[in-house]
Amino acid sequence: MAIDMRQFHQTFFEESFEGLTVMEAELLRLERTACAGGQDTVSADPEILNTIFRSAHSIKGGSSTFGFGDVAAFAHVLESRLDALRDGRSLPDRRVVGLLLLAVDCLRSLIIAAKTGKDADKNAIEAVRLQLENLGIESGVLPVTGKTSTQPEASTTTHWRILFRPNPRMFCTGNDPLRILRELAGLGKLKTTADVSGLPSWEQLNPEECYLSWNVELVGSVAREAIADVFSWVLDDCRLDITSKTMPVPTLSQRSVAEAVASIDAHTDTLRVSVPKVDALINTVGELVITQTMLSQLTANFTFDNLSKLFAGLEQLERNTRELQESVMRIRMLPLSFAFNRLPRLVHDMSQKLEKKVELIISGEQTEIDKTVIDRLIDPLLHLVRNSLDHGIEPPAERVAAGKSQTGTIELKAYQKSGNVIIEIRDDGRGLRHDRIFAKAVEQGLIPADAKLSPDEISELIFHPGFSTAVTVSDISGRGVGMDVVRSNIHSLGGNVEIASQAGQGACFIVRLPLTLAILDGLSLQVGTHIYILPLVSIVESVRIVPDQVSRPAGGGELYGLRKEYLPLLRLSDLFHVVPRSTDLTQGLLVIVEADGKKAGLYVDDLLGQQQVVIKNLETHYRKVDGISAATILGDGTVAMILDVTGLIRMAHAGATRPTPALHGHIQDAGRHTGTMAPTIN
Amino acid sequence: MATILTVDDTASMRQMISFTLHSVGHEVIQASDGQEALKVIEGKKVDLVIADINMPNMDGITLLKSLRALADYKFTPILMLTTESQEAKRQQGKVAGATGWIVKPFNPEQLLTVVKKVLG
Amino acid sequence: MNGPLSFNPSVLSHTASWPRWWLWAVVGMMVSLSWTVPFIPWWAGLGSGLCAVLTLTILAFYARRQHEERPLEGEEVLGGHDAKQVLDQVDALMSPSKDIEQIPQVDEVLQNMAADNQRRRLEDLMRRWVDVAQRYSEAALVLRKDIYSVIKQTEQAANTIASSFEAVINKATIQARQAMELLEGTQGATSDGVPQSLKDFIQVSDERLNKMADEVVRVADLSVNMVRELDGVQSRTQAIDGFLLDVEKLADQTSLLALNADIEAARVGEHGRGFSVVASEVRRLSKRSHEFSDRIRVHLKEVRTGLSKTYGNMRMLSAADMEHALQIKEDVVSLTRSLEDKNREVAETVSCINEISKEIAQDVRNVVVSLQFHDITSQKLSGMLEPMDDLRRSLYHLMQETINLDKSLLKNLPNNERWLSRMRDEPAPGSAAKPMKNAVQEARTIHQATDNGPAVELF
Repeated sequence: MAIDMRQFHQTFFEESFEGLTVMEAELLRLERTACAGGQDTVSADPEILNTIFRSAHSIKGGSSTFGFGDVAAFAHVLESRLDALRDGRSLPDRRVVGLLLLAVDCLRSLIIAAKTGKDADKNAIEAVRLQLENLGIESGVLPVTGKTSTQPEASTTTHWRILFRPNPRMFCTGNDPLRILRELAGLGKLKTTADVSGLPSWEQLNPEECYLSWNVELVGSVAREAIADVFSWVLDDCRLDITSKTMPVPTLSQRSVAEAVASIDAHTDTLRVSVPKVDALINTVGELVITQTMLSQLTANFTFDNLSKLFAGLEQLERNTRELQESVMRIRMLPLSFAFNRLPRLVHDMSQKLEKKVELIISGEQTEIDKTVIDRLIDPLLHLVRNSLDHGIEPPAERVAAGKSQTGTIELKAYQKSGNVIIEIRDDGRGLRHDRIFAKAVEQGLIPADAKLSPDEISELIFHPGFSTAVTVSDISGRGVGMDVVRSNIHSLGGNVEIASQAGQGACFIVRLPLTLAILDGLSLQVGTHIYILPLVSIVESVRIVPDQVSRPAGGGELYGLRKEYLPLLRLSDLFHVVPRSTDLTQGLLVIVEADGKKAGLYVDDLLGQQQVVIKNLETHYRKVDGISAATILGDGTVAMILDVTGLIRMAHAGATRPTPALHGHIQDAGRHTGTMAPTIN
Repeated sequence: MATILTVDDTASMRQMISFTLHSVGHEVIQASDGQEALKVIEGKKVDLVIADINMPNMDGITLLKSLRALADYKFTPILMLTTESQEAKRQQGKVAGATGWIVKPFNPEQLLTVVKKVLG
Repeated sequence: MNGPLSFNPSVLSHTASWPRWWLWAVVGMMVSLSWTVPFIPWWAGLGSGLCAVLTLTILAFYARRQHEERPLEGEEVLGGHDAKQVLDQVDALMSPSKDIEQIPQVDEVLQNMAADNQRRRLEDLMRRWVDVAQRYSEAALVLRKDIYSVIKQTEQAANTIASSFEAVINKATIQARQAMELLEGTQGATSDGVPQSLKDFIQVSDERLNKMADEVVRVADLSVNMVRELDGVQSRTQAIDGFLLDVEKLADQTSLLALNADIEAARVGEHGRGFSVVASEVRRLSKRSHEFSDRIRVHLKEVRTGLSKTYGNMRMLSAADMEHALQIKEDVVSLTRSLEDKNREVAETVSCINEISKEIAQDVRNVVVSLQFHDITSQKLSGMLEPMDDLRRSLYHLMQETINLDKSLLKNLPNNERWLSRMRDEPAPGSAAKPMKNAVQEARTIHQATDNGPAVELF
């Protein structure tokens, strides 16, 4: 074809990687349903299998179109196995799911090899492919009764090593070792080496005696009984050893998988953008064009009367440019799920390897953050999760002994708070072992032996370069290049990482990343003439106030009784010294917000609508203000404050409904500042 | 194809063995006891011997030993026909140099497989 | 009889049977009870006393019973003999007229009596043993005969079945093969090209018929061509006709010219005589050409009629030929089709036959396994014979030894010689392991075993 296909390769690679991610996620889901069911075999949800199959199918199609033969061949084997699975011709049990995951890894490395031109680990891939093919053979044999049959050695491809040493007198019984070996060859793939060490010298050789012995390697779906059968007549006349070596499946080492992972994720130089963002961008550009036209018109027939108009126009231009900048920046925002997507697989593989039962719970992954941040966040996150798995979560037995459930939990929570994106990695394992850390630190000379350190200080010690309390170094962790690198990475992103740990209960790593530029889903509300933005995540509901539910306790403040509970009622107009439209509670709305488990009701005049806003950090432009987490510039140029719900609730519960008068002034100042200063973009 | 000697004092047994072996093209020589067997193989070349154990005049074990003593039949495969209850006899046969054993009653397919296995 | 030392043995036995302890127990109990009398109402004491007595009596009864079952020495000695005789003997011995020295003879007598009794019991046992042995021996012989006959019968049956089976299989194979041959014929054609198999036949017929049809079509085609040619010829004759007309016209004109010439010649007179000769010659020529053209015309007409007749025939023929040819072609096609159907049927039947042959093969396998029953059963049955014979022989030896011990034991036994000799009979050596092949030999053996007994029927 004259068309250069190379331009499409990029698309193919990206699609394939995405498809692989989907396959992986679905396979993990498949396995989880099995775990939940408590059996070894999986009652497969057909939709899951279909999804996995479709991904494999499209990868196969794409790769053969573009001429990536290795990928296509492997994908073909995988696809046919998946087809058998989804047709119900074979049952996916845990072993099969594990093998399929391995196959996904192989496919990934093959695709990377095709992309980068480097070679993949051919042997490992070949081994996995063989296993896949044999899966097909034996799966047809398994009865689809849903019972886990005790798998005899026979039905797997086994690798037998047979040592056959006939007695010298074997020929005299009319038996011929050659015939026996030939019969063995009929059972599977045979490789024999004859051992001629028993041969005496020529003069002593008696042609009627057997001096040879054989080392036979037999590969195939062969039962031990079948092999023993072949030798049944000569059992007493020879020395026979049958040992099985199940073919070691060379697992692509964790390292190579991780490398593969790292290489893709870090270097995708394309971006997925949601269409509304692009639309907003286009709008902005449109506005810019309008402004520019207006300006050129002005300057064409310029008179000094029009100076003010010129200034206004220039201001407009500035605004438009800023908006354009922000729109573009917004395009670069990706949800954190991109950083989190490798973790389930990692947890799955590692938990199997370490023989621990771990469940990974991810929440808040739709929190968006800039792409560069995500790219550089992946490695530290990986490391922290690995640490949890390796050091934190105990083996099931230990957990049960400690009174915890067998399955450990690692919780990954991401959310926005006060101008930062917080990522919490919490595990319910054994927590940091302060005594060991202390001992190791002393050992490494970091602290004197008699130093008195608080638990927090001891926790801090692990961030020292070269520090590791792992007794054995594995390729998972323990090389001591971990925590300090993590910290420095996060520092370079402008954030920091903290530890909170409780011995025996678990540890929690808190990664704080500044919102250099982050987007918030907010609800805009109106108090008086000012517009505020309330983060959607904190909103529980909004109600019309029923006056008799309002009560005024003796200590001051107002309470609103909603169903069974009483919530502090906070009038934003009072808080921010804004003139409300009406002080009559029945005229406005009460927005119930929640943060940190506490609720409060915010009294506002009106709810305007839901919108996404770009968060501008107040602190960089102005300074920290209570009750406000950040500010934003709305489409029409006005400044809106983004409410800090946690702060507000704290204030409401503390009963301070009358904030310092200065606050309002601050806010106005802040608004002015944010409005006029050019945004600094990191 | 091959020449097979079958020795059994039961005519029906010999008949069944011949019938089965003929169906794949082997040539079969019959004898009703050990003595007759030794007589009948004179001048012929036999590739395989299938012999019963319990026979008058000369029983299977003795025939086996006599055959093994002949130069021509030192390495010829000799299979013993036996019923399950004769474990002791089987041991005797092995010691005397039998190549293998077939359990009675035999399944013709099994017989053919064993014959093929032993004739190569 | 009623001497001072006479004793009534019955009394002895009577009192001896009541245990002395019973008496003492009753006395003791009475005494102890009497102590309680003042303390308890009289009827209570009496009642318990009676109960106790009753209990003790019952116990004593049972004890006596036990005692009775074990034969006391005294009874042993006396049992089986007339008590009176013994008493007389003892009395005779015990009478005071006899010497003291003779008293030991009592022991002797008693001993003799014991020995006698023992002897009698032994004899009895012997008789019973002998009876058993006899019966067993008879039964054994019969059993042995039966086993032999079973073995023989099954052998015969097995052989018959086996031969018949083999014959059936052979015939079935032959049948199948013949059927196949019939349906498919042998492979390849014979040297003269005549096809042997139905398939070949169908093929060749098809070819030939097609060829024939093609020929016919070609012929039809030719005739069509010929018709066209004829058409051409026809039109040419018409042309010739046209020419003829012209020729005639020419001749007429020539004649006229000649006449004119004659007239001119006549006008001229003398000088025109040569000319008039020429003119009359010309006239004559033209007349001749007229005649010729007439003749030509006649011929032409004939030709034309002939031609049109041929034309008509040709046309008819060609039409018929074409139709015919097409019909033939159609017939050939349908014939071929029906032949193909037939062939397909044949193929189906063939595959049916093959299927059945396969099933037959399976059945054959089953039969081959089952037909080995005779060998197995006869072995097992023969296996039974050996222990039986062993037992018989042992019994015989045992009897022999016992008899040797005391010949006199036998004198009371009925038929002693017969059963003994019968027990002695052993079956012929070597046939204990397996029945003989030779039926005659076998009969002889069985006969041997029953030499001294009633004849056994062989069937």
